[in-house]
Amino acid sequence: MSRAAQIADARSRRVGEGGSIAVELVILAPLITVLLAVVVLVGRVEATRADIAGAAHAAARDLSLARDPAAAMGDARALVDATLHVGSSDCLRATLRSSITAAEVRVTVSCEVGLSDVAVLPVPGSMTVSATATEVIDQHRERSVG
Amino acid sequence: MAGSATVWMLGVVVCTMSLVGLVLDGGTVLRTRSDAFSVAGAAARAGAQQLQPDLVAEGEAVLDPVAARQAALDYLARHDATGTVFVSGAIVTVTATRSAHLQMLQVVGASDVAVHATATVRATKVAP
Repeated sequence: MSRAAQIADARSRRVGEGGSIAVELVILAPLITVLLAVVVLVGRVEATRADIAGAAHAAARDLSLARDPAAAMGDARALVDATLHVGSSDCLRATLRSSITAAEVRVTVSCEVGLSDVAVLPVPGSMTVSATATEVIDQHRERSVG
Repeated sequence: MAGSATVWMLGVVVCTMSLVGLVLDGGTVLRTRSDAFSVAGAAARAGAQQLQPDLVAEGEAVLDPVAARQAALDYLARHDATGTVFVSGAIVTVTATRSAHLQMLQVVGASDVAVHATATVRATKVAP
């Protein structure tokens, strides 16, 4: 084989290799897409989990500091709504439950995470995550009665 | 020759799965750290309100060190955490430890990670 023929042979072989990568890429593109969608899905759920944990702690602290915790629920609700960007796909709807005793405030925040925009995966349209926080009430503080 | 492309794709898949693992388990660890910090703060506050009752009646805020330590440890135990409590004068320092359970990174041999957070609270008298 002449030198020129050898170069031509090597060049054609190189072209052949490149083609096999392209073909595999086409075959595996759906798989990669699904994997990236999983990253987005997991990331969104985890981000919301972190946010609602923070919101639950903030709301519990807010209620525990109020002179009349039961009457401060409106403020706590506004705090949670502002923290969680309620209405965005990070949290479609938020619910806030609290149980207040003489010594403790316990707050549970639940959020419905919108998943419809990662519909490439067979997931339901939304998923509910929740977090609970407990905060002690200062016993030596003046509180309003009744 | 075709095998080299398969290896490359395998690399991409492994990298993406690792990304899922980092997002999922990294998120779990960060959330546990934030929870541990909140629990440490609440435990320290629970401890810092254990004042000596006879001095409270006189309007003074003096910490009862034994009761403060116990109250903080009780709070930690009730909220799924362990930790250490130091009481020094009017200051309660709580280090809370919580365990983060990993899901994806188990394949590289890490199943549980202990997360620590420290909070300090001072018992003080304020104007009513």
